[in-house]
Amino acid sequence: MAALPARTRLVLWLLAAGIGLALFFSGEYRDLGLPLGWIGSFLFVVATWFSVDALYRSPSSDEEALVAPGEWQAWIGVAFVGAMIGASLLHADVFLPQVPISRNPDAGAAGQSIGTLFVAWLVLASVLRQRWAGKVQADERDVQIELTASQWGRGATAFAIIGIALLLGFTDTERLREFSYPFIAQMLMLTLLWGLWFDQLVAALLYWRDRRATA
Amino acid sequence: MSGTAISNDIRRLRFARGEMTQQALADACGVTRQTIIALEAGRYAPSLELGFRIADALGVRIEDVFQWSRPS
Repeated sequence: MAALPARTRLVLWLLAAGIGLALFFSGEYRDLGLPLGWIGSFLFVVATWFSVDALYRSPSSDEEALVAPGEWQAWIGVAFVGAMIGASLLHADVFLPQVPISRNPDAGAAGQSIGTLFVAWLVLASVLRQRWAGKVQADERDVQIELTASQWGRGATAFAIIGIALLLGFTDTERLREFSYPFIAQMLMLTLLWGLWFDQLVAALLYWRDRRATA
Repeated sequence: MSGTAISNDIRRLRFARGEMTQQALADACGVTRQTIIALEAGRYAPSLELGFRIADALGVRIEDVFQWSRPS
């Protein structure tokens, strides 16, 4: 892999990250007797790490060098939290039965895979911060971008909570019986993830907009 | 982070100071290179403190680096 040109290496790692994500979403733990979901999330994390490494290290074609550490972190956040939201939506039906998650193995497995992605994101973000230690990773402009992004994130969360409140408040009682408590809990977690994803997305777009204007 | 009413001569002053690189100026001021790029492009207005740090790193007075134009 190291002998390949930087750009080819990057494309291959991005491809591997895509395969990892596809495995994560499609991989049931019993498929082929292999833990495809775990393998997928592991591949996704490793491939993302090497993709960022390949981009940050090698090409000084200056487009990449313009990307601030904060922007990398924001795009990685968009990818990981997006994957968590995707997994939550994909497995939403497993939370419908009126049994606690501790007695619902499918819900437990879905929660575990989402949790794994969350932990993987935190680890990757921390490893990247270590890797860039010694360089300035954030300054007052980053703080301003984070502030603007978090305001948008809060707005998105509030919007989603109002949506859920209206849904619960105005839905017919008979229909509401289909909503189990674990399902409502899952909806609340999804709301948090949605706010977090929006926060990361706005930050990434603000960085990108500045970069495009200065390119 | 849109265009600001504060313009600057950072780029000219960097070159006048022995072609100082954006990274070198960023390191001297404790900011990222991307912030220097945004400043030079007029996409970001720095805090007063950063303004002083930049002027100090370039060896000039703050008013030699930044100019404010009254918005019309």
